[in-house]
Amino acid sequence: MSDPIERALEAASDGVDVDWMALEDQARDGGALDTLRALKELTAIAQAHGSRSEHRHVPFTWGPLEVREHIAHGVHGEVYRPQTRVSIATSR
Amino acid sequence: MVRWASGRLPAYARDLAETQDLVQDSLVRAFKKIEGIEIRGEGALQAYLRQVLLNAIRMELRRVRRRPAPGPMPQDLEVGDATPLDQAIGRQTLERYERALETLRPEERELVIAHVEFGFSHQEIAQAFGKPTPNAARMALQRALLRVAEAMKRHEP
Repeated sequence: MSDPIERALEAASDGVDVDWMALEDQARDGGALDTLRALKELTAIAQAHGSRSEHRHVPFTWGPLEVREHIAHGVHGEVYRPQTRVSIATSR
Repeated sequence: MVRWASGRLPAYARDLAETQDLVQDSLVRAFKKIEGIEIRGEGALQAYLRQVLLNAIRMELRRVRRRPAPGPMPQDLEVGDATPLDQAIGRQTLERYERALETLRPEERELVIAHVEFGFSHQEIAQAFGKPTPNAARMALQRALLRVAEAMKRHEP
């Protein structure tokens, strides 16, 4: 995929890193450049929301469990791996 | 929702109205009215609740501006309406984003909100919006993102 707008859309939809300056250099005209900049702003807005995630720093204790590792996060919460090797989910 | 709301309240408003209470009250009011509203799925529900909460935040900000909190004024007080998102992104950009969202068709708007603001994965979007596969959800999301980007261009100062 070589079109810079398609690559910018991938960055915005998939969360992959791109070199925005390089993409802007490839813009074929002013309209495409403005679209790239708007997609860059959308990506920044998404990152700002994501960066407000409430991951807890591991390790920490949760009741009787010693939580060692953060596994994943989703819409409804965070998933950690406790020392007992039983996966638990905590709501935000 | 609490996390989402906390990014849209300046510090002084968060001090006056506990964000959790604001979210809880707004959601209770929203669900009381929900029988009279057509909700087409999880994504639409989330967008509806987001709008209810956004309206509540705007009302709270107007209330706080009209009636400042009682008590001594700290000497190092910095007066400002900037929210955490304003500080991270810039208010003008956020306002252009909000205006651009309003120009989209409902499902496009809901897709953008689900992904950009609530971090839905392609799998979660597929489930919430009834798309057959995560890749179909991804394609629909990309079309919606392009539409909102084009609309943001039109709202540039």
